[in-house]
Amino acid sequence: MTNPSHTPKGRKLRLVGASVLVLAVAVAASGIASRAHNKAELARQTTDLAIPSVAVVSPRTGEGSQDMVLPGTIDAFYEASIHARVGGYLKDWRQDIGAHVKAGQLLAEIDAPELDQELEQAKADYATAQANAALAALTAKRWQALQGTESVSQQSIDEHSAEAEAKKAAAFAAKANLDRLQALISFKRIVAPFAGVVTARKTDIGDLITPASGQELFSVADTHEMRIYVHVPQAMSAMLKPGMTAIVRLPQYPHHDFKARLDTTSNAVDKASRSLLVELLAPNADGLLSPGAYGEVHFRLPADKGVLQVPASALLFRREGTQLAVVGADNRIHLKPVELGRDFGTVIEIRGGLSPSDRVVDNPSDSIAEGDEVRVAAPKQDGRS
Amino acid sequence: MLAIVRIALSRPYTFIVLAVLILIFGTLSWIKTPTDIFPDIGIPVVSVVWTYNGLPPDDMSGRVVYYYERALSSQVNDIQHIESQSLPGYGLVKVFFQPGVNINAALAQITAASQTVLKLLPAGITPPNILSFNASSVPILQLALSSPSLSQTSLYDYGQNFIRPQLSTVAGAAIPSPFGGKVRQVQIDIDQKALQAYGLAAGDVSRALAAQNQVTPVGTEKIGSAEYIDQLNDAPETIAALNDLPVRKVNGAVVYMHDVSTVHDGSPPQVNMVRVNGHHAVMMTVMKSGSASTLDVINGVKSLLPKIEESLPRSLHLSAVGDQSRFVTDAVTGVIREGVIAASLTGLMILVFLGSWRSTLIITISIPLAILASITALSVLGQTINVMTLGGLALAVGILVDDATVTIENINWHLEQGKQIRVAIMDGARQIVVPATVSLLCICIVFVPLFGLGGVSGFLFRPMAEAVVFAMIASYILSRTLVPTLANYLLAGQNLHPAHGEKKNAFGLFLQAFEARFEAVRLGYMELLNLALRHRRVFVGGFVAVALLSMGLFPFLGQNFFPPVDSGQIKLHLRVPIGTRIEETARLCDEVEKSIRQIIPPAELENIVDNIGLPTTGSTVAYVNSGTIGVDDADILITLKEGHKGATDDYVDTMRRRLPREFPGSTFAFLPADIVTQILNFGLPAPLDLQVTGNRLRANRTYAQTLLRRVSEVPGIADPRIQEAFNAPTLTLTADRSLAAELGMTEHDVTQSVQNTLAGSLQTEPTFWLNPKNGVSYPIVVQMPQPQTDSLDKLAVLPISGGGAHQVLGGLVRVSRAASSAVVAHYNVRPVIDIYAATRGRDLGAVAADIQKIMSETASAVPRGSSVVLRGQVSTMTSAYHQLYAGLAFAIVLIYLLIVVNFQSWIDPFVIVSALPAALAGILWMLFTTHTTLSVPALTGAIMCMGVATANSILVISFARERMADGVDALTAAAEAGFTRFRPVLMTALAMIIGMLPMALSAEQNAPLGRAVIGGLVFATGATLFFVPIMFSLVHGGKKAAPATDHPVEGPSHD
Repeated sequence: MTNPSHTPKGRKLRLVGASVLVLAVAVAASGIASRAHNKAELARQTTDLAIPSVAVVSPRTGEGSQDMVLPGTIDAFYEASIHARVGGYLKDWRQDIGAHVKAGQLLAEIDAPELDQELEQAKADYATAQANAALAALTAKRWQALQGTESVSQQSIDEHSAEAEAKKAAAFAAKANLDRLQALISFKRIVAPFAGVVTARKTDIGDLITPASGQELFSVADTHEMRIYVHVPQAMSAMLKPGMTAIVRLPQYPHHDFKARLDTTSNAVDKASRSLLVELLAPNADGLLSPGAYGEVHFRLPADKGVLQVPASALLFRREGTQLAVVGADNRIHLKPVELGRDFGTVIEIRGGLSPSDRVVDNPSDSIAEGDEVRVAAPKQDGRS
Repeated sequence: MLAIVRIALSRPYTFIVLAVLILIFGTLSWIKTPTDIFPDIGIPVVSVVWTYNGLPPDDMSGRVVYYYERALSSQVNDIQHIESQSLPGYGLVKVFFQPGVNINAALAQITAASQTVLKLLPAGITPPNILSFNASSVPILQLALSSPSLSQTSLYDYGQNFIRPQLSTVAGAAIPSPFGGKVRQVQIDIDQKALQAYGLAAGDVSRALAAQNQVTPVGTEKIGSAEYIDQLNDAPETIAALNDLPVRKVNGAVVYMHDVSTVHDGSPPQVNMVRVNGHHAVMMTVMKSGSASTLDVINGVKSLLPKIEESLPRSLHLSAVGDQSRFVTDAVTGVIREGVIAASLTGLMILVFLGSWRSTLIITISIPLAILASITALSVLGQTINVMTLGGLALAVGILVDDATVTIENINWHLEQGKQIRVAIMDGARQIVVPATVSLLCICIVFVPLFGLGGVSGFLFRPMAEAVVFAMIASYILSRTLVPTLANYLLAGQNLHPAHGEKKNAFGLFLQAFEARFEAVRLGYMELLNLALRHRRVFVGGFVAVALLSMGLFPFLGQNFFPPVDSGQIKLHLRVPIGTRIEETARLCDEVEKSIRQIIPPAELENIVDNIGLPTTGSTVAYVNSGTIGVDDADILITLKEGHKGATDDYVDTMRRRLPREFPGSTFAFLPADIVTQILNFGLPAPLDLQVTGNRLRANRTYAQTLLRRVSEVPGIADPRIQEAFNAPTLTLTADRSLAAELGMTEHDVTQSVQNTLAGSLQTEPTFWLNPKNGVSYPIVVQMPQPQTDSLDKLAVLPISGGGAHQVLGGLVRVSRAASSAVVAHYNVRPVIDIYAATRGRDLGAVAADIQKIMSETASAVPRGSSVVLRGQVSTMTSAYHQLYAGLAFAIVLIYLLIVVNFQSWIDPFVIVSALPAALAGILWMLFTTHTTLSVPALTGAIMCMGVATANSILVISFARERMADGVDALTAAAEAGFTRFRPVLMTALAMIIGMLPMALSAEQNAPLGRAVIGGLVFATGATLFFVPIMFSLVHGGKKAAPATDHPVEGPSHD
């Protein structure tokens, strides 16, 4: 082995060495190439993944409404408290609470014997006065017939005439007294002042009734239509206009909506409570509304038809103000500053800055920015609105 | 050393007894030592959880957490850093400590600090939960409680109040409060209409409750000779009695609780929901605490379950999901299997090379003993049996074989010289004591850098290094003691070289053929070596060039901290649009799960568990490490069936592509599901955490968003997201204080009514009801049922009372919309914004490098006073790499110095060290062709390779030096050295390579280690056999014969 590189063995060795070298280079090259290819593929995928998918919504109109619910007190259309004008004992009552009564219907009677006696006396007084007046008139007539006969003095004639006049007046007075007592006696009968419902009876047979004490015997309410009073806080009072309708709900009829119409307001805010008194009228044909009841008054303020709305979840609150992210035709984000209108909770009115054809991003991410490329996701059938 | 060998010969039972003792203690340690996936990672973390129901994150951060963090930083020692998260209702502060902290002292200081700040915090706040755990506290078992008939409330109640206390007796188990379900509490559902009708407000109800339900002892009374205990009907005994408590007198009539509310046994609005395969359930997580063994904890829990089940209603099903014991057992048995296969293969190899049953027997006895001794030592040091220590032992098998083989071979060689057995043993021992010691020292020295590793990798690799070093030392000792003893018994009468003998059985024939083949190879090698020696310069130049060129592969490898493993689990973190209510999140989860079931075929899918929102108790919140901030976050845990065909990563990739398109507005992130990566991530939900820290929040957010946009473009990045969402939909209620004052009300009246209506009264006026039946106290909470306040209009008519006046909320308060923080995070008491990201299809190192580039490009845009840092697994990785590189360089220097001492020469050690680049080249080629990225295990393999390669080169050089000392010229000495040492060098390398083969072929965490060792050794052996002799001859070329001034290593020469 003097010069092994020239022997066949040496040549073989060289061949082996060279092929090993070539193989190594090939392995390295292919390894590096596949890694580079992988990296390029990965870069493509990463760029693809980096494009966020967004859900878009179109602005809508006329959805949602504002529902202002305030506690209200229901009162009768008219309500009268009935007191006694005559003293005495309650003889009898005819109508109990809850009774529907007509105007003039007897409710109760008072037993007032001294009043009866007074009447009898007045009748007698009147008869006496009448008799006296008749006698005086006759006497005066006789005396006047003697006038000019010089048998009597003019003085006497005048005296008798005057006496007749006085007696007549006394008779009138006695009549008036009789009439008064007769009217008073009619107050023994306590009658309904108008058609309605007896809402209270606070007396019973045998009760001593003294008019001076101001004791209420009955209460009668006219419930064909009800008045509902609501104290509306000053801050919420601006949107209330006479003529608007409201819905009243009562705890005892949770599924019954009673319609009411705003009749008038006090036009003055109460200093103590800073609230405006509002009066509504509600028909009560079925009589379900009862005076004194508590009711929830719902003032429903529908959305303006002409104003665009977006889901509240689309809003972006940035340092620059409130914005909406809109997807342009080139699938790039454009941030639009908008002016908010009324807030209906789930949707919110956009007063300005948005056009009906805009594609608005719902639930935009924190980091969404002007010019971002996005992928608009196909709306899901059962997805959120 | 030789004295010991003499004892071995004269008093043979000594070391037989030693072997028996090792066997006994080793087996005992093996049984007693806890088995686990990883060594205990003793980096203590203390979590402090402040709870204040309903407090928004901004307030939690500003009014609670900041105070507390500042107090901590001044009152607690040894803090490394403080992290915090302020969530709605929770303030979670994590304190990380310097290594070596006295955790008990630190806990005491933290507790003291919590007490001092308490008075400065919002009224009614309770002292925080303080929990101490470490990085290896991860969920190891989940118990799902489900029932067809029981309500979610009772499920939670059973879990929290009955199962949990029993399970907590299992040693090492930490069981936080259950996830999901509904918390049982007495609800006073107030009726807004009724309140308005009576002119009352929510505050009146809670005031009445506080006044009527008291827990106050009234005292005793002595009458006559007795002392009576007086009992007042302070606290109602039944829920019905609560219904009859008077609230207030209105218009002459007493209004009772039942007039304005309904008192019932209920639950607060649900904030945490767990579903197992779509069915509502309650999930109890079992965590491992401290140094307990995962397997022990799981077994302990499982053995208790039947007993617990007996005490529960029949309809309650208790099932274990997410059991990590399977994973742990698989990993551990995998490593053991690899080790056993490796040991058998190497044993076979030894048998073939030595051609003697008896010699092989001696070696195969000494290897398990060395391993058992190492396990005993590890056990004494408090280490567990885990993947790392077992991996170390598997790594050691190759070298252990070597140590014993050298001893036996040497004895055989001396026997062949016709010496008496005792003389042969003594002579053999004398000859190899120095090279064996040097080689032991070499291998031990290379592992020194592993001992210096800091952080998580230190805790992981120190036990591995310990295992190797202990096994090495044990093997070294056994080779001096037990091996001579056994040789004395077994080798005395053996027939040397049976191949030359008369017995011609099959094995004998095979050995003969092998010997002949081997001899031919050796001659071929000789020829090649001579050829190379003749063209020294060309060869050396070529060799160096190839080695250097191979370094060019380095950038293409990529760097990972740890190689990924397919654990068959996917943890998907879903964040639906911030502010989504829990019912809607649950619906979205259902749809996401539907999509997942389309992606993963049913045959592959074991189960899907989702966990929506944050748990209801603060102490459990501390254990949540998936980045959940509220009900808009859900964790979906997908478990694949064992033996699934589709790769987990492919499923993840498909989901990554499809899910974001199907669910716009939601963010998806795939979190580490396996226990290994969770431990390595150290409580973070992602390996990459880009933090923007600073006080200028708005500017930082803008910057973080630009950064996110740039980072999303980095190839191979996955799930980039900003953790700190700041678009939580918020309604701002602005009360007109002046108007309120005119009405005689204050902000307090407004607050109380709104709070009692929306948040409930628990935080400000806590009262409790004791259930006498089961002895549990349940809170009583005044709250308005959520459906009653489901619109802005209903909020506007909330009654408010105070100062005798009555008003509705809309009369005093203006409502407007805004966005606020959903979570506020701090890092070292400064606000921080985290950009989390993971990688897909690309190594962590490369992605991190790209991110670093973006960071430096955008450095000018960083707001003044703010800073950007890249943290997470990647920073742990970088520091581990730096430490390992530095350690490796240091190890080479140490080895060099060691050989200098041994050879008493500066040049020969250089020749030995100069072969190491070849080992590096081999590692690079191996990793490159197998598409294995660089990782800490691969680097460990590289370190191991250095040790073995050096030990082999020492063998060659020492012989060459010996020859030169005998007067032979350098060229001949080199050739002879190569030829003579061909066999032992090849045997050592082969033993190691074969030993690593099963590991390298496995798909386990340590596969890169095996691959690195194999690749490195293949090249290093080539270098040892060619490059080293040639370098030697080059270096010594000028000299004829070196004067033998020293006593160089004398190695055995074979055949």
